[in-house]
Amino acid sequence: MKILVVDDNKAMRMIVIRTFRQLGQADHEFVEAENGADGLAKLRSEQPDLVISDWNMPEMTGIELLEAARAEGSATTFGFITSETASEFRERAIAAGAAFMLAKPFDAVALSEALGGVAA
Amino acid sequence: MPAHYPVPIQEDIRDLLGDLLGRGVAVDKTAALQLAGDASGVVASYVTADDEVGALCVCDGSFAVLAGAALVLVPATVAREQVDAGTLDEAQLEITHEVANILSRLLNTPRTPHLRLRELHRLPGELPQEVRTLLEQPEFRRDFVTTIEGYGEGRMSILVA
Repeated sequence: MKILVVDDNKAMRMIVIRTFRQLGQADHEFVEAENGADGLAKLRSEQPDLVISDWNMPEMTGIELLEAARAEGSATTFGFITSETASEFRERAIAAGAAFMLAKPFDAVALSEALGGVAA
Repeated sequence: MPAHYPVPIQEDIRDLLGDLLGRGVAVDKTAALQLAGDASGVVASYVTADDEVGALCVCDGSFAVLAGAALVLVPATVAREQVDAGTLDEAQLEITHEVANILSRLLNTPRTPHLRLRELHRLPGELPQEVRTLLEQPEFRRDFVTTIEGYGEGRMSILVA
């Protein structure tokens, strides 16, 4: 599975990938993007199976990335890992087509539960 | 007089950092953090949707380095050498940025304007006027000393408008 990890913080991208490895899912191919605009470009060029995105990022936010992706017809599974936990964010994410919204800080168990069968 | 924005208590900070870092964290209240003019540190500013500064998180150099190191699993011995060096490089600042970003969870309630992390300001260094104003005249503040298991002690403060 190819997974696009979108976060403006390099450390957090590393932590997301490390957490997949803690789940025994080290065989995935990971592609990194440093903001929503970069994420959209890599969504087009890399055709990932799953997008894991932060919410607040410069240039293009995570929700703008999701909305742009869906507007282009992309049906790629999309999930957020974010410090935004208010219900209005969650509702907007789900309405836009997000499969899950995981709150930072998170651990391997929480990621596994959020992924469900998506990346098993 | 109640604070306009929520100010987390030590148990909130302890639980969030413990979950984030995956290790034991002790947090206690302490006297107001006053960084010396040449001391290293970080000021994180949190803003509303209208870009008004609503809260600050001030960290001394020890907390900034040690929390970041624990997050990305830099060996504690290396982290303590970095603390002793008294500087914060760009890589350390980026990791501290994520710690500050996650702390924003504690600054939001359904009843107050939403705050998000805008940026980190390195100390010593120039601070924007609006940040200086809140630093000098917060509506409310709490100051903490944190001990991260295996890494050591640092100090941080939350100030709100």
